[in-house]
Amino acid sequence: MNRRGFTLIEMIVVVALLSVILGAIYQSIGSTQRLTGTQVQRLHVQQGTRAAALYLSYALRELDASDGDLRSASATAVRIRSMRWAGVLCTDPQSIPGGVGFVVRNSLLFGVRPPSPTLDSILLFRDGDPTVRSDDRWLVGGLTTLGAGNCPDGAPGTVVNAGITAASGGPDSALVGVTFGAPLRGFQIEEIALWQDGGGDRWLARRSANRTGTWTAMEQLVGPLTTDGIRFAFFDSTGANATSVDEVASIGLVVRGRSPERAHLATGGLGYVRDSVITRVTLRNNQGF
Amino acid sequence: MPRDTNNNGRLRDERGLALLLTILGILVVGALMSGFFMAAMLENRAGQNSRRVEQAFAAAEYGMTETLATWNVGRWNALAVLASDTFSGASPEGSGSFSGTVQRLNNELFLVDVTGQSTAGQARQRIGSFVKLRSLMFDIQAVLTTRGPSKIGGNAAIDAADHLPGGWSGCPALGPTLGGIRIPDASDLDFVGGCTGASCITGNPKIDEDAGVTDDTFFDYEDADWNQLKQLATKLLSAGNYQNIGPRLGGGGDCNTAHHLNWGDPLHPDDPCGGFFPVIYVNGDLTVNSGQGQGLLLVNGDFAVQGNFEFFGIVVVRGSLKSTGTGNKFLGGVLAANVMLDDNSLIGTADLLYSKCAIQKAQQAGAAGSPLRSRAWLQLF
Repeated sequence: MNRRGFTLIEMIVVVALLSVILGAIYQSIGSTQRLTGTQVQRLHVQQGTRAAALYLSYALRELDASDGDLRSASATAVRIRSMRWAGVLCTDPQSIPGGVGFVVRNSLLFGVRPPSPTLDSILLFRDGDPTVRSDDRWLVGGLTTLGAGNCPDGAPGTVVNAGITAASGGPDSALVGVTFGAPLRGFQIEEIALWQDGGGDRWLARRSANRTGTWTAMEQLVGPLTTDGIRFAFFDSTGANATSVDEVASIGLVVRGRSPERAHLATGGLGYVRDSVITRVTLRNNQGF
Repeated sequence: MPRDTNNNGRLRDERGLALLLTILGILVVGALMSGFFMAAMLENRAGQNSRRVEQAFAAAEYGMTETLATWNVGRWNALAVLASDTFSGASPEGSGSFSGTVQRLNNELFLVDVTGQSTAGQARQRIGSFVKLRSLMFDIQAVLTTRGPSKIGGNAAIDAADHLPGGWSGCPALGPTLGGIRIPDASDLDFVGGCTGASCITGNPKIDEDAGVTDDTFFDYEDADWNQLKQLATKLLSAGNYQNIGPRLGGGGDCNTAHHLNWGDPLHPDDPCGGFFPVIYVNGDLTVNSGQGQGLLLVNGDFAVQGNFEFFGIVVVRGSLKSTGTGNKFLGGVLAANVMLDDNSLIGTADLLYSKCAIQKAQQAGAAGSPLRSRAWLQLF
């Protein structure tokens, strides 16, 4: 006999079984979503803290704290001379009204951006007596004008006019002891800090000053971070805590990040995923012998 | 047990959910695993990238340290201004590799540019260092420094005014006049012939009697001693008589620095060998007869100059210095000393002229590169 259809009992059993199975599937999908969401937040935090540590390492290791590159320091902020570019003179400096003028060889100009007369101050290497090292020093000054030009050998160059601060001996100090081939560095004063935005989130942020001392707005770099998301510690050459900024030989860093959104935590419940990176940066350019 | 069959006795075509449920199950498990896999892969990639960047940076720093520690005095100190040379190597345990250039910026300064690579080359980091030659420091306070009996005569002339070698560039401003002869006991000096009464000496003072002239004056040079100077030599010669010392060119017209008689070209500073300042070490008695040279000449024995020989730089003679014949000229500074020294004679037409510039270039000839005292290191992009 060709019987079609299901009995009520069969239907009840099927519906019951399907409910159990669909419930299990729903739970699995939900778990997957929660786990994926948590993993995404975890990745965000890990990448953020790594990026912050990398950025801080780049920014700090080129400092010469012994010669004033670390302007101020606290547990949550540093103010530094941040190097933007470096170059090499292809002429001897010449005296000009209010400063000195020289040409920088374009093929030996390196940096994150080109020199800017509105933004950059300079450090100019003064060799003094070339046979000794004890009189070597860097003169501090500011770019006043820039222009296109050529080196004496015809290679493309950049004509630089600059002032030299009185503390460095004024322009005359650059006319003796600074020669063609001398290195030159361009820098801006930059502040890197743990910063809180209007919404209460904390970020690794920076701002920089132009030559007249006007600051840019804080620029968010990495975050969000925890309330104690950045901790600097400053050590002298013996590894003891430095007592002044010019003694700093290495800087300890702790970056603590948190996820932008709450996620299901392994410990149960909703919460922010947190992670941290700890490292120490040795300042490469401190004065030696 | 009864079987559910149709009229033909075959199994009835029953539809079920088993396959569907199995597929659904596989999909769910697959999605779950894919999610974990993706997350793990992203995390792994992020970690790997960080590791590679650190590896490349470490390789670059190792390359820089290695390059500075093994500064190629003979090759890099002879580079012309703006000329460059390349180097490469690997960091220990196959942890990466590095390559770079050394470029001369002026007489004293160089830029070392190193690029480090991670093991498989996926990450690169580039750093630089401004390097200054760490000059050897000789205690030269007079044109001629000696500590034994010395005879000056004939048409010899000792002039301690600072002289600028003709056509040389990159020289410091002229310095003050030095002493003519510096010696611990002036009674050891014997002036004869045309130099009676020290008349052939120009200096401030002519005779600098200085009890401070000791062995260290001759064999200890602050950063190096005699044996270390020998290690720095770019030309190691055996004792003997050498003639026609002077510049030698290679097939391409470049300076053939490997030729044992090529001691540079002080008279033609713009020629290919004009910038070549070798450190010459002669292991025993040296006799020269005609020619020219520049740099740092170390004689581990007696030094006899027999005519028409000119040397610009520093001459250190462990035994006695004897100049005869005509046309001999030393521009720079001369130190001649030995406890066995019984006769330092300068007779014939020998000119000993002080030159701060020639001394400076000679000091740099054996100098190793060393990062600037501060702000040498830079991140390159």
